[in-house]
Amino acid sequence: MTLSFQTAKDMFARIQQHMPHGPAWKSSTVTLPDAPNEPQIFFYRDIIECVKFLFGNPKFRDSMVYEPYELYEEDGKTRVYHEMYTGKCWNELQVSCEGIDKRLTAAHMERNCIVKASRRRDGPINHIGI
Amino acid sequence: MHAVYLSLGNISKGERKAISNGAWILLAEIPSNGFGKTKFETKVKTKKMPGLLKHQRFHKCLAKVLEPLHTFQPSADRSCLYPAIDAEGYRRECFPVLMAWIADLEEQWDILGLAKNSCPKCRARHGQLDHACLCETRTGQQILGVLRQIGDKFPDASSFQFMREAKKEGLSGVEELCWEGLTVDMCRAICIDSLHTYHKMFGDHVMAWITHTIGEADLDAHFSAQPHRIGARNFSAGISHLSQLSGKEWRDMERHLAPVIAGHSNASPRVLKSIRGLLDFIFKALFPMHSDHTLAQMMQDHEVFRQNRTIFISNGSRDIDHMKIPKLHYLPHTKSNVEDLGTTDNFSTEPCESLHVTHCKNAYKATNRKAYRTQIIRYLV
Repeated sequence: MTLSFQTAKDMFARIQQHMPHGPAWKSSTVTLPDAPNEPQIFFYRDIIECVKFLFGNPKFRDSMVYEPYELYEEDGKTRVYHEMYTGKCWNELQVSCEGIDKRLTAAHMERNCIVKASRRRDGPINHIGI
Repeated sequence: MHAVYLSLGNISKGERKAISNGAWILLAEIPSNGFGKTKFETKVKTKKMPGLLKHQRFHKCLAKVLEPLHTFQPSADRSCLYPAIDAEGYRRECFPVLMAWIADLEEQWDILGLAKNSCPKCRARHGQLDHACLCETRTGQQILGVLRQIGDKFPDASSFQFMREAKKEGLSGVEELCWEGLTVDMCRAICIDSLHTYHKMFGDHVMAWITHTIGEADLDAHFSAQPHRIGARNFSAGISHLSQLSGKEWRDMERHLAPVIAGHSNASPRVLKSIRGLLDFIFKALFPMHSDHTLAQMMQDHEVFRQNRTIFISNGSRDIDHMKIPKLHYLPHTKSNVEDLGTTDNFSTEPCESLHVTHCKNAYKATNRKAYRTQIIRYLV
């Protein structure tokens, strides 16, 4: 078998170079007026770059939703909720003209704006035991 | 060190649940160390200031991280949109919105700039936490309005004085909140997470009352006498020796609990009613799909629990004579949360807790424990 790499180190170098990976890290310093002697360094990534990275991952091809929906039971009155796109927040923010299954109310029709939105959820800020 | 993770609401919750799918990305690492080098003049300040400084640092760092979002304000033209390639390779015009923020209750207070013992979703203060009806809805604008009022009233106040004034209004004392200026109402975006709100609450409060009511030895004996059940953890050695349980284990304990306590001489009808109400509520709150009907039933179950829970005070299981517990007050807000953002399994902290193992704990182990934060970032790149 002919491989394009000879050593494990070579393989990892190729992965680093050629495989897609997340956006670059940046660092920044925050100095609080009440603690001038202790500048605080923190690390972060550009939030829009991160969103683009997740948004374009072909792995999620079949599980991406770009528009909100209002789901109802068969009686047409009882509202059903499950994914984020069935919730009221998303429905209030984004109104789609091409809603196929989405029931448009009169108020929505009037606003009639088309925005393809990518919704963001921010993860938790958790304490780590270090 | 705090870690902030990011995912997209566009991705289905099934994909988001398993961390190996790569639906989450580490967005920022924020320091959480103390302020050892800074000295304060008075004793009170030495006690109070480090906490305030930590809150301020948290908001300053996150404001920097969230800064790019400010350029995307809704407008009539398309200038607020940015182009991105979607999962199928098409170009889409996108608009970023911070829709949901997953955190446990303690962190929710930090994020919203609220003092402890207040409710993130409504304006209830400590005295009103056990009221039957929910107070007026809290909004991000209202919090910012109160902060502005205090700022106008005391324009030259130091941050310590500002904190004292803010505490009177039920706020934590941070002047500049990181989400100020974003289009979303932060009080709606904060979500109830099932791990802490239901399971930890159950473990911290309700299990303690039950243990006191039934007695530790009897409870152990009843648990170990349960028939073996496949698919859930069996507590054949009792539960009193357990500590540091995971969300899944609490859930399994909740499954067993009702038959375990039924029939015991100390389990009066009111004890059983309240526990049944609570368990029904928890399991309904965890439904992966809800309708208006199930939400109404869930609220009824909560009402049964609320009406009967005072039995734990009268039988001496809870030694404080009120039920003003923030976590208990928070439960009925599940309904509005589900209606706004979808069911609670969208917002469990469990995947994020697992991400800590790969992104932070393993990364820390790979360092030489000296100036480890830079090394962790290098490890993750």
